[in-house]
Amino acid sequence: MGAERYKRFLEVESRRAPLERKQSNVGERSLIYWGESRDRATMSKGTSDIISSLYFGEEPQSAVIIDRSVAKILQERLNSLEEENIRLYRRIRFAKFLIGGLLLLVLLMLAMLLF
Amino acid sequence: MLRNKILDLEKEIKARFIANEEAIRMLILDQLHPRSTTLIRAPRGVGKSTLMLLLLKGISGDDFVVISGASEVKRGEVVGRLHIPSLEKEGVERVLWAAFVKSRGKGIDELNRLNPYTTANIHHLMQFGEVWAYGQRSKVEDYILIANENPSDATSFVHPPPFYDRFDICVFLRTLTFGEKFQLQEMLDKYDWNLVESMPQVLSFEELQEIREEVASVELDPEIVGYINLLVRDFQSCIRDKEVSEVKPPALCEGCHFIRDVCGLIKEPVSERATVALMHLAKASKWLYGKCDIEDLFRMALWVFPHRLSLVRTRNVLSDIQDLLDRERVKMEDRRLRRQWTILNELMKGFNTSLYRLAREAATEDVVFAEEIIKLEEKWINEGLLKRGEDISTQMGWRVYGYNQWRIR
Repeated sequence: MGAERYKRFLEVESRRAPLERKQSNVGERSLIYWGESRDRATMSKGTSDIISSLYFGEEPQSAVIIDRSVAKILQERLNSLEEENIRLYRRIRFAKFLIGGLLLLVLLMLAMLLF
Repeated sequence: MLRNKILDLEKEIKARFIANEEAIRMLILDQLHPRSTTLIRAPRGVGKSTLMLLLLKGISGDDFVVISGASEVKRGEVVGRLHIPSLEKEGVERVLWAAFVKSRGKGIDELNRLNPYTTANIHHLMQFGEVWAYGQRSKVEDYILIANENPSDATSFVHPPPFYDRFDICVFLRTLTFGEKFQLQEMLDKYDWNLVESMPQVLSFEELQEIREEVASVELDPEIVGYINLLVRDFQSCIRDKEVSEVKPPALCEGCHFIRDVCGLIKEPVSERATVALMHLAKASKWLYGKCDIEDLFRMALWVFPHRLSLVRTRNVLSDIQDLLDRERVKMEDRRLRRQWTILNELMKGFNTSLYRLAREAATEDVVFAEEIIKLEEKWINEGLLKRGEDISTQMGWRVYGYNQWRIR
């Protein structure tokens, strides 16, 4: 257990992969944690849930997880929005014709009054 | 200068032996420590005897003796025989020691065909560096011993595992590929079908001894020494003490926490001689090539383990061991990521609750680490830092060797 080479090996490994200590917010205790070293994945801020991102306005992470049922809901929602979009586009086109016709009518009436 | 001679030896052998470069490199590295013993395994006709002779000739010139297991070898031919005239005229038992004992270069052809009596004599020679005959002992000087065998050859006797364990390494040769066969034919034509006769003596045995002294004084990095010990321990450890258990894996592993680990695939573990062999090879590699890293170590282990262990299931011993070594490589990295050795280092300096919690977590997934933690726990229990029952071995029901006694739970 106390072999010098054994201690040296542990020292070398400790230098290569050190533990990190962080001061706790509560009291004077220090927390030991694995550390944010290069060889470990770091947690990014934000949510990985699409619903939280869409409906609660949370910032999405670089990777967002989406459930099949949620995907289906989103698909249906997109389809209804597309239909709504087409319907509104038709109404706008009709309104444009109507406005154009009315403008023409007003111009004709003004012309008749003046001349 | 001496390094160049070893590199020249490698070059001369490679000029006469096609393919199997890794095996040749290992064979040469293994000769760089005193009383080297090397085993070559290959199917018939692949060139194991040729390779053995090339190496013997390259180092010992004509000062080598090859005994053949295929013929009926008597003790007198291997160890020594009684000098009859001395006995008849003077009534004195004088032993004439065999050339095999006296020569620096020793070769054994078809090792697995040797009879048990000859095997026992050679076993004793490798173990103690001496031979006995007619109540007389002869000390055997430094040597190189190279043996070969065809593992699929039906033999009359099965040699005991401790005998094979005395061989530092066991290299396997493969048959030649299509293109390599052309190379061999050209090579045979070049050397007039006399590969062994054409092999020059590249260095003298005295030079080899000088090299062996230099290699012995090479200092290895603590990291390499650590990884050698770790690798061997991974191929030995068992939380259920398979070394002394009458029941062996896989039956022993039933219900074991570590059932998916490497230990569960090894029936008979490697001996401590594996550590010695790896240390010799690592030193030789550092002396000859100026380096020995962890990748070199894993390549060496492939030739150090095959004749020293038995696996639960063997399809192809080399690829099976290679699979285990690949798993080991991943495990070593995993240990580093978990900071296991850092935690152990800190805990060895003193008990710390947070670190102990992390150590326990790691110990449940690593037998070797668990052994070290359990030893520390024993110390802490004796010092009153930890209560019996709170320790991981009690909670997990593991049996471990602690403080010179077996503690069976």
